[in-house]
Amino acid sequence: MSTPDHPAVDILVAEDHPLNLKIILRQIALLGYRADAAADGALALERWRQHPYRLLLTDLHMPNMDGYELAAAIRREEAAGQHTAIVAYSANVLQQDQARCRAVGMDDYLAKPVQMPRLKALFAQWLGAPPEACGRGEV
Amino acid sequence: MRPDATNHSVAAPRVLIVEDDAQVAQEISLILEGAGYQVSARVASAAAALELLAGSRPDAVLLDIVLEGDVDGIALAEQIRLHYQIPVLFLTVRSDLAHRARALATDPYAYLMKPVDAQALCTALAMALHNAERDRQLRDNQRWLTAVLSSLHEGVIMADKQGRISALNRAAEVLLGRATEQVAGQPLASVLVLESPAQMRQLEAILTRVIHFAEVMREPLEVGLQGSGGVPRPTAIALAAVTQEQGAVAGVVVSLLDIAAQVDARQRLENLNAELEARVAQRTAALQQASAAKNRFLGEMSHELRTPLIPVVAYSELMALDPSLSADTRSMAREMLASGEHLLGLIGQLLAASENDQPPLKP
Repeated sequence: MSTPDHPAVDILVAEDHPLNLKIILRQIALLGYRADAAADGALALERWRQHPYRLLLTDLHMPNMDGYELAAAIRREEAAGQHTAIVAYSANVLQQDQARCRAVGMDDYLAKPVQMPRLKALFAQWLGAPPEACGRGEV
Repeated sequence: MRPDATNHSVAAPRVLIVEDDAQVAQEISLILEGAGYQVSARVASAAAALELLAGSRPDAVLLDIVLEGDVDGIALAEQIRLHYQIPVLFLTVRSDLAHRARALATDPYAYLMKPVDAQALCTALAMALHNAERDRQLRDNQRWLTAVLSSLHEGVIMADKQGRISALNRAAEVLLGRATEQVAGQPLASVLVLESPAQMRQLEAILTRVIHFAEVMREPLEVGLQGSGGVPRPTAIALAAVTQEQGAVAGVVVSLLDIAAQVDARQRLENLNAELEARVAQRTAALQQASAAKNRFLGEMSHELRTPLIPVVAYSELMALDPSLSADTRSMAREMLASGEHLLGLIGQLLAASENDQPPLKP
């Protein structure tokens, strides 16, 4: 779904852990998508307000504003008909955490670490094919 | 007519004849004996009659009004009524109103005129014996009723259809701290003093409905009764109309039951329940707290164990996919990835098992 109407950067990643951020951005790039990053929930919310990302990938535990609060804030602020896909991205994999994600309005849940096939399927589901064919390996 | 077979004496009924005219007495004896009665004695004076009665009791007494001595038959009948409860039949030539009136005041079972008519005498005697037996049963019933009432722990008050008290049983006297003589004739509402005006109004309303419409109370009224102790006692009051055969209300029976013990027990039970509920709530809260703490711990464990594996798994995968690396290096990366995945799987199973172990405690 890469038409001129759509912004080039579709994905926002909220992640406070530098190594984890580096890894996910690399994985995203390899799949041919582009992403912006924010180091906590509050910064992510700021970025989201300025730019209508189609997909937010957010860690759950972050300083200032955690992933749950971030999702809830976005759902509150969204205009009628607007829907940012929000996918939790966390090393917390308990049932109760996933249930809480649904409760605050998230769409899906990714367990860390995530591997390429799962990530590819997720992006295909929410974003369609990658806007540019710069993926390196076959996944 | 033969003597009544249902009479309580098995032998022929015994009749005492009190008659100053020996010839008449003889005549009556023959009639009675001919009809199957036994004449216990024939005496001519009240004094002789009373002397006999002190010894053995006949089943009936046939009395002339005019007797030998100072005491006439009517005065004798009064003595018999008061002391012996033996049926008395007058047999007399006196038909004037004054004598009849005096005689009737002694509750005779018959008032027969001389000369003696055998048929009428035997009929009257049979009826008198029958009625005397019925009266005896009534007195027995009365005694039973009295015994029942006085043995009840429930207080019972009897009142007329104006609500004026006629009698109390012993338990009612104790509950109210008043004797029957003190309250007889007084209205119920002045004797049953309840702890609040609202309860008094309720009681008076029920009393009115019971007396006027013979209404039946579905359940007793629970009130505080101001009784002998000064402090109102929890009491259950029930009112019931006493109706006559035509359905008219003749009076009302009020029963009083001291329910202080039940009320106290009920209160203690409620307190106990409240205490148990509080304890359960306390315990539930503690368990929920423990459960929340465990969940937090599991969440942190999951996070802490998985986080070091993120670069291991992610990078080994990227390396395995990287065409710029040698086949040998990519093969090593795949083995590294497989080990990482295996470890990830073990952690997942361990945490899932711990999580499922929790008791289902949702508030």
